[in-house]
Amino acid sequence: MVCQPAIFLILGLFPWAQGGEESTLRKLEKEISAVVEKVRPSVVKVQADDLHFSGVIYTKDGHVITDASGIDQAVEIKVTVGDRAYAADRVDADRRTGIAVLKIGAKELMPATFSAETCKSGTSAIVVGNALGMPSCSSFCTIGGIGRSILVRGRKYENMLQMSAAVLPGDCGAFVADSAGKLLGLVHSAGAVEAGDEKLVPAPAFAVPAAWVKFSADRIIKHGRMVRGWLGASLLPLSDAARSQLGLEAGVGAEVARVENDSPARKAGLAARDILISYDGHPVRDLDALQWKIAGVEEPTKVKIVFLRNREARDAETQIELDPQK
Amino acid sequence: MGCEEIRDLLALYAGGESYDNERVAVEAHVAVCAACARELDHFREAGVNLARLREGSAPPGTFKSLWTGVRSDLFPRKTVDRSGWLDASLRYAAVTMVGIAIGVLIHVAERREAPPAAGTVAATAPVNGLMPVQPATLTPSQPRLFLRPQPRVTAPRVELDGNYYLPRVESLPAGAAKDF
Repeated sequence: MVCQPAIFLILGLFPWAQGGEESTLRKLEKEISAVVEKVRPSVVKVQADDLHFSGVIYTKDGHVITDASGIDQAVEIKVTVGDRAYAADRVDADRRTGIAVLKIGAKELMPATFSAETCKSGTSAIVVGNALGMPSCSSFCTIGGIGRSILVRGRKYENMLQMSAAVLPGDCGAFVADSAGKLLGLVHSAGAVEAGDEKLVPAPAFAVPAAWVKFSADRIIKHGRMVRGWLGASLLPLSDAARSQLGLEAGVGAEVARVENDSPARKAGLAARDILISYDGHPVRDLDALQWKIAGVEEPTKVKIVFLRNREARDAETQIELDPQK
Repeated sequence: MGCEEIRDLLALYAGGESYDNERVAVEAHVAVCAACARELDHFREAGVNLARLREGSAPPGTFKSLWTGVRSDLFPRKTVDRSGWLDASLRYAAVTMVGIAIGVLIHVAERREAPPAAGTVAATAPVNGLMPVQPATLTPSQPRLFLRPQPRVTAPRVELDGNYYLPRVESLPAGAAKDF
């Protein structure tokens, strides 16, 4: 009995003497801390007039990516890297993705590295931002869904990552990292949504996926303004039943849900309920791939399209314009 | 009936509470027995005197003399022989003790109601300023208040330095339509 305290003391002082391995939870804690430490130098504070939020260093020579809506009407923008504040210039913003690029007069910054892997539902993520102005606040979460559409400030955003993170005011533009400390996305919005009768229900946080962040940032930096292609139509995936009725191949076709006024789609004669079956000589199968293809247009380009109207195939030529970013 | 039996009935007869046959027997006996007649007169006289007592007030000193007579029987040990100076001293001591107790209570209450030091409250204020909190305890030296409710001490609000931005999701549009 007398020896027991001595044994516990020895075991406590020399963990190897316990013969057990480090717990999984302890390992997880260490890995999360390591990711936060790795990401921290790339996370900056953004102040647009009296709004405070977050941003991420995109290039080592001073490009910073952040949320577009936060700097919409800003007269004066400041970016704080570590302890040093810089005046920032707004290069441009992509209203489709909600990504803006700022430029500060700093060199040898620590840019974020982007995850090359496709983000899946259930992926672990760590959000590092400036919640309530407190630098490098972090929260651990999982990606609850991909390809979500949300309505924020009257504008629709697509392809968003849904997160379970406790995102707080000031986290807008925060770094969403994967387990390797690479950027999975940029925090966009969160909060409660109206579920009818003016009742608010909790909603998860959303982030712009890394691929679209990179797309918008690269375009803005390359052209000095946002350049992306624009058809001016909304498309819906076609059901298998509709395909079989129309005699289409499996996976082919997309229904036109809406056509914008004065858009290339309108000029080409597309209308709601038409079925787009071919774009630029290729069958329309994957809407995500088609979205990348059209968005990737950097200058007005003529393309041939084929669509069905009343079961009758029609050929048309349209010119993909540059997105007016309205 | 003999004298002994008649004398048991005399009190009832004098009070008018005897039956008719008893009354006849008593009257027949006292008519021939002088001793029982005198006894009957005594009962009648006592009844008259008692009736006078009930109708009027008791003579002065009646109750005092009665109480003096029965007190020693009722409270035989409560009769303490106490001199006057001892009684007076005990009274003064009791009044003094009550005064001191009241003074102590007032002193304690005043200390409890004093506002805490500013530094104590500021240290407990929340950093986000969203909810003012009260210090859990004021200071360890301050006793618990038991005379009056504790005055509410509110911490100064820590204001947020600016507006922290995070757009609110207005809705999740139904459908899988994508814009091109």
